[in-house]
Amino acid sequence: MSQAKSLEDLFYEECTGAGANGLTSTDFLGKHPECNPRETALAMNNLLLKGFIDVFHVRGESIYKALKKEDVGKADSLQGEEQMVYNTIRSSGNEGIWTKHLKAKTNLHETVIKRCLKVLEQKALVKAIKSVKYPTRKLYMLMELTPSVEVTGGPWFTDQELDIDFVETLTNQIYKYILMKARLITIRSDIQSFRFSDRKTLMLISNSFPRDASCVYTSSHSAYPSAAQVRKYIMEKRISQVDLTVDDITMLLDVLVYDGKVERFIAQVDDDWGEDDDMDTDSDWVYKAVRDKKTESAWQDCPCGVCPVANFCTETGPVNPAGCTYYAKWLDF
Amino acid sequence: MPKAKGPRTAYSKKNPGHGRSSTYDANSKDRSTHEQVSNVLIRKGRMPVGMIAYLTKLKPRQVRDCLFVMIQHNVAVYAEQQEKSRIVAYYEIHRPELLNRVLIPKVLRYSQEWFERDGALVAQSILSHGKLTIMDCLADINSTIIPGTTGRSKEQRTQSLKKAFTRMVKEKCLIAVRPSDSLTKTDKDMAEEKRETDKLTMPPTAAEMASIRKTMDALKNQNHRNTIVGLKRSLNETDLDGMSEEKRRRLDDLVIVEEVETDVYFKINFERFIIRWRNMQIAGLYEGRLNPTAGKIMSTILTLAEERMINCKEDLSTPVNIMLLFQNLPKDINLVDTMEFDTLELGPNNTKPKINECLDKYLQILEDDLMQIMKKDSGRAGQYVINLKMASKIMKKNLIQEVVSTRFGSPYVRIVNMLLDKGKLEEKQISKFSMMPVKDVREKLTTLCTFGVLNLQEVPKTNDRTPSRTFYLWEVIMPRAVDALIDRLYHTMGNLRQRRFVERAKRAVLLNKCERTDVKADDSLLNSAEKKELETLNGALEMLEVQELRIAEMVVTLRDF
Repeated sequence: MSQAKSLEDLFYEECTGAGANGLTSTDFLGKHPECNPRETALAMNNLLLKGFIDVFHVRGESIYKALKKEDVGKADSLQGEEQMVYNTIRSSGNEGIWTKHLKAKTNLHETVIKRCLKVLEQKALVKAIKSVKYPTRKLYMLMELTPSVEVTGGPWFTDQELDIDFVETLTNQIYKYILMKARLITIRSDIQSFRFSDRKTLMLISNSFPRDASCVYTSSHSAYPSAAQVRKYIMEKRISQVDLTVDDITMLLDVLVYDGKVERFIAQVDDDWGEDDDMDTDSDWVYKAVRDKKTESAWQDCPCGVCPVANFCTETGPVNPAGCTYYAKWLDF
Repeated sequence: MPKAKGPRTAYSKKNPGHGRSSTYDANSKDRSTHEQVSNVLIRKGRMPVGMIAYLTKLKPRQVRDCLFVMIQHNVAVYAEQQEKSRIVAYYEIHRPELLNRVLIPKVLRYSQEWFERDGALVAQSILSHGKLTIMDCLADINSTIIPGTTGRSKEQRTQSLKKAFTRMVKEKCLIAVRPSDSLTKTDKDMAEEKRETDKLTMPPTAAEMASIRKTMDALKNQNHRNTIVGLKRSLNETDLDGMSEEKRRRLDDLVIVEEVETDVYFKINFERFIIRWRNMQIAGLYEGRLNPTAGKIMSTILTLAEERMINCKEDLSTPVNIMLLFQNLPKDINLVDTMEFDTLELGPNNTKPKINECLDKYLQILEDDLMQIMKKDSGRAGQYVINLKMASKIMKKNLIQEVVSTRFGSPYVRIVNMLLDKGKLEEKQISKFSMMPVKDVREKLTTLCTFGVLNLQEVPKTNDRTPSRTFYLWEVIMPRAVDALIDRLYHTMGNLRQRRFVERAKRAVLLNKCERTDVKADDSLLNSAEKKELETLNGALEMLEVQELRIAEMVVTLRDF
């Protein structure tokens, strides 16, 4: 028995060594010709029973994969179908698995699956979540996992719905920051003609464009914020409760770009210029507010530009400009 | 060439929109003959006199009179064709010219601005006669001015008018009319093509045809670039003659006189006006984005490049030299103080750079601007070219954005912009990138699609084209969006014009009374109610007319730029 025990250990170790690719029994026997195939099979059975390894069938071959030691204990008490369901849910990772897919994968009857899930939930091994992508589906995943961004929709979603207010306030804040909020940049000046000591810093306050409307910045002006800086500001001011990544902020900035409020361009790279010390600038994109364009259109000043029935309006039809009440109102001012 | 002088009023009643001709005459129940003829021509296409007479129920003589006037006013063209033993003349409406007539008020305003009072008088006189020679034009203006009112002698006035006329010809705001201009363009092209293909022994292949067309186009452009027709230059040897009073220019010691040929007819060159308006609008773009100074620099560059522009469809302007630009900048321009420097740039003494350095910096700003309209001419230093195609694209885009934003709101603009930037996208992607819930996005997409800005492209995943297994991709196709919007604008213009005639027709009795000579002489014959009514009418008409012009400006941006 002690030999069998050690065989179990050996097999488990080999499985762990093989990692994600798994191990076949022929691989194992090739590596350890001294082992008896029969005893190896017994050892494998034991391991499977204890839930230390997993079996997969790939192209007619059985592949064995080792499970992490810490995962092992949990499924210990499970038997048969429950374990099967548990394993399938575990293999779906942080994406979660839909009950229908669960049924297809395990080939179990729906009532059986329901029963198993109930047990698993009672034991606090799995949890049910809802996906943003498919709001009607009930997904299951292991208790200890946090759902992936795919499922939750990222920081913008609360209760599977896009939090419009949150997005809007944040976008406005960012716009204000880019437009108005003075940004303190530290300038490390190494230029000798300035007679600054090497590490002298100087504070500069700048906006997207000069206060005086008739002025412009020169094109070497570089005090425009990047996404990382915007993120820093948002986090420092505690505008958002949720931790936002630079990518999240970039999404908001893109929205501002599409709104025509902000422009995105590659900053002029200049060694002497504004390099904040603790900044993770991996992109050179910086953002600049666009001067307010007056959005007015001559067309909308007359009734036709906003007319709800313009499509039916013809020269002599039932809706026509001669008897148009909108015109009457407009001309009466 | 017909030389009749036609009444201008006949034309201002025409509706220049998508074949919809206004049938409203304010003063009388019977529609004017000109209107009937043009109506038939617009709606039914080209046809000979007999057909027009049949459709309008007018006498052939009347029809001929109408066509005569219309050709004089450049709104009708004809083509002659051999049909068996006789030659038949077909008539049709010259649409571009007709559509440009809405812009007449603007043309008058800017001739006043660019060529002062005399220019406006010349423009007005030429517009009311269609085409005129310089002498006829001067005579016409002199006959309308009451002597002694302007404080100038007749001689002085004639001189200054001549000067204005010559300048307008030189700057191509007036263009010489040749007899061939009254022929239809397609017929001319076809005739030329035929001449070329006749040279070949075999019927031409498609490639040959294309090359023939290309050379013909190049030739036409070449002709455009060449010296201005109707303007002759001579050394001023005839200094003592009467001719010497023309506009002259000093070139070293020689005096070169440019004078307008007296036997050439001129018409208003709408295209040149449109080019100038376009240039003004480009400068305006920079003024809005950067500052007025940048706008002025841009406008100077465009003015320098303008001479060689032929129409609004060119891709690039001719290069402009930086030195030339520097010399031609307006006097009141302030390059130094309108630039905000970073502290490091100024140097230790805090001195601002010199003017020409500032100009360099300004040009750098213009070049770096994200619109990417101005760029350095590759190969030659100190030369800048303007990407006119890009500029027109931006102006069209801005206009569509403005319309969408005022009509629907800014979330819609977001979607349009995103699709312009990213190309084709699915509903879900749009929702993700625009950070709007899918159900909102769906509604917005359909609204924009019905409006004509968006297009839907379906890409089936399988051969059976099941809707559930199909990608539905949305995109903005600019030319289509532009066309859709132009259509709507034409519709509005038609409506405005129709309403204008309705407003006048409603008060026909009153207007008739006003036209009476005794009432004209003494307006106390109108009672207070009538006066009030007249005031309301004028107010309404003004609104409608102004609105029509504003819409026409939008159409010009979308159609001609």
